[in-house]
Amino acid sequence: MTVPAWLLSTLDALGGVCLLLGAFLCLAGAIGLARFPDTLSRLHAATKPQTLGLFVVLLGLALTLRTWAAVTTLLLVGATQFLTAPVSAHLVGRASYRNGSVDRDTLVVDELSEALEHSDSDPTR
Amino acid sequence: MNAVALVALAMLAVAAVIVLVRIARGPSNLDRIVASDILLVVVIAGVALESVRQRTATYLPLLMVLGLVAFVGGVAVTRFLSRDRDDADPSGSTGRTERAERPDSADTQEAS
Repeated sequence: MTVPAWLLSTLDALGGVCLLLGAFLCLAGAIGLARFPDTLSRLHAATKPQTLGLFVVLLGLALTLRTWAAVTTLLLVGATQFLTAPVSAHLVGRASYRNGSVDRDTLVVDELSEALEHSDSDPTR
Repeated sequence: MNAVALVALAMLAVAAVIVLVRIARGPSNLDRIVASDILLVVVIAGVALESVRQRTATYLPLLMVLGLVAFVGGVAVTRFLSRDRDDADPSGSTGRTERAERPDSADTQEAS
């Protein structure tokens, strides 16, 4: 099976665009991390490179390599990142709330404080 | 393709420097955890770009391992930090931590 040359160059160009977009998202997340005022908004900036940025970079890599072994491995990498990033972000947000470093006046919905009142005062939770 | 990868690598280098500044400045250790997560994502993207530049699939297991290390390390350090809250925030904001701290200390004093 021969693949036409124009298709290969188109895939290369698409992959290059994806890689540039991913690198730009990493840069945007880093700038947000440097400029946002508190932990929760820095967490918001951090999610851009963690999910969309990494996904776009992996897509660009898959479009460039174009083998099934690479595509399946990259799917695995992306899936683990998509599953683990919310877990660690949730833990960081909860820990910062319990630290008292969250300004509670700025919250629109605050369900964690009610849950904490009903719980015992175990700091490791 | 090589030029594209080099431009993207330069953007990642700038991002890594900014993230390192955030890790150095803090102010709290939770900010450092968030920043180190981003630093590891930047490293993963850099390895992927090097893989594009050389057109080789040799580095793909490295991407997998880096992602898992980022998760395990971040979760472990976050759990560790939520145990001793006093050391977690050297920059201050003690007024709000005190309120959370008080019931615990009262309990232990009565018990002893």
